[in-house]
Amino acid sequence: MMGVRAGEDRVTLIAGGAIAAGILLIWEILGDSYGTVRLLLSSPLRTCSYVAAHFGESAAAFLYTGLESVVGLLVATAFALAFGALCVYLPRVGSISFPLLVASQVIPMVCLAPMIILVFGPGPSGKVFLSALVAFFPILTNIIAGIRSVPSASQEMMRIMAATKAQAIRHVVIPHCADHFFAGMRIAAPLSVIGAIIAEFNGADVGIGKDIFISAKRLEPELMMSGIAAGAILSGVIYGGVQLLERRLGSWYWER
Amino acid sequence: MKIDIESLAVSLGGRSVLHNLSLSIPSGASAAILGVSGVGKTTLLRCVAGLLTPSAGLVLLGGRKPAELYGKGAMAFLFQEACLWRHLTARRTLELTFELYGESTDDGCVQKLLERVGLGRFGEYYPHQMSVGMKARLAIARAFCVAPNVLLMDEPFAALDPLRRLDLNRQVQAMRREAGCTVMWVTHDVVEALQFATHVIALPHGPETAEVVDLRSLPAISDGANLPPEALAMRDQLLNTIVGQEPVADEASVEVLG
Repeated sequence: MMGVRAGEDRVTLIAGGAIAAGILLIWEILGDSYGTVRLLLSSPLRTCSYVAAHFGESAAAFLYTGLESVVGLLVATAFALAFGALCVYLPRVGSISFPLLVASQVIPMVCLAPMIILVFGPGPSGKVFLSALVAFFPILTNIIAGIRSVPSASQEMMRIMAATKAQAIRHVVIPHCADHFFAGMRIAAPLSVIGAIIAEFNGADVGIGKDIFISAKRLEPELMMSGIAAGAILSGVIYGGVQLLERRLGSWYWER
Repeated sequence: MKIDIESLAVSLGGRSVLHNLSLSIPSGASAAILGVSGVGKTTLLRCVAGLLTPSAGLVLLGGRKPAELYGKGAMAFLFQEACLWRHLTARRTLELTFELYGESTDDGCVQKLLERVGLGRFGEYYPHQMSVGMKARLAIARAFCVAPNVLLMDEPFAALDPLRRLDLNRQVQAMRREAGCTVMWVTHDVVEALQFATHVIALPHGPETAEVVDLRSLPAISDGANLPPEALAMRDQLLNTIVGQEPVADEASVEVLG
């Protein structure tokens, strides 16, 4: 059974790799042959040469945006955990504030970026704030769904055992919430990168968003494509980090 | 531990579920709560456990209110779901139970208990790696970590096949006799009640008062498929009590379609 699964995984990997290689090849041929394509999309080899020639700046932008996104994700997680617990354990507070929070989500967070940069200035704090703002809601809704999914029988059993609130949270609530929590984190991970990049569009000294923004002004397609690629890699890295953490902390449910 | 229920009344969502129920179950008994669906079997059990506050009346376990027995290992409850801690192995589940009750696990009691319920080789299994039967066994082991005075069971083996259910019922009754505890359990199955109960609390479908039937005079029943004449008569009497005045479909009025 395991052999069949491993074989299927290998086929999927090879097929995915072949499709990606095919797209890159077509892009390279078109970028090399047509001036318009080269002006708009550059080509993979030209983009790679550009990154090699400007490695220091590209790496700095990647690390800077990466740090803003990770800190934003952590801040969003901390606030979502605190607010989720508040909503469930102080239902009155939850019933008043949660609808307001849902209503606040009708404002596209992208629209807030210029205002946030005005308030926080061009430094990293504004980027972290927007990144956290975008990542917060999916984590929160999943945490609340997780806490509400805890079976009442499990809680009653802890009551009969006279377990403390902390013991009940540790042994019943957290294990039941873990899969919901990580589902929210997996959605929020790429969103935190989007939040940081959008904030950088509106004013930054360094970062992937700044690179993409100025590339359009200066008509530098290599810079734009390297920025887009860096953003995608960064989202993948943070998503992978969340998945790694999930496997490490929640191995007891990962194997289900 | 003796269970006394005095003038118990419970209303749920404006509907009266139990009304003026009084009964007494002697210490060490195995009392099956029998009745049709929706008659209040689980409600009664939850009142005895102190998980549900009655509209009127009193439940006393050995002269004390149910909540006074919490946390001392004096009361154990087996729910319909095993309610296992999904992040803990079978061994850690029992160790944590001992810890919660402030008991030591130094003398190999965890391994003994695992072996007692047939999970000796599965101590490192997580709940998601266990079958439904193994989960039920672990729940039984957890209930008997600290010999309880009262064990309450809400159809914990309902999801199992008849053979496994029989096996686990035998296991629970053997452990009950060893621990000397009083067991109160919910069932729909009259034959199961006749096999494993010393008393039956028959909850009627209609407005009649619940009846406690003492089964200790019945001969032991080893095979549920071949009941002795006394047990057959008792089965009919219990069925008559629990079904009460419920209308039964008249064969002549059944229209055969197709």
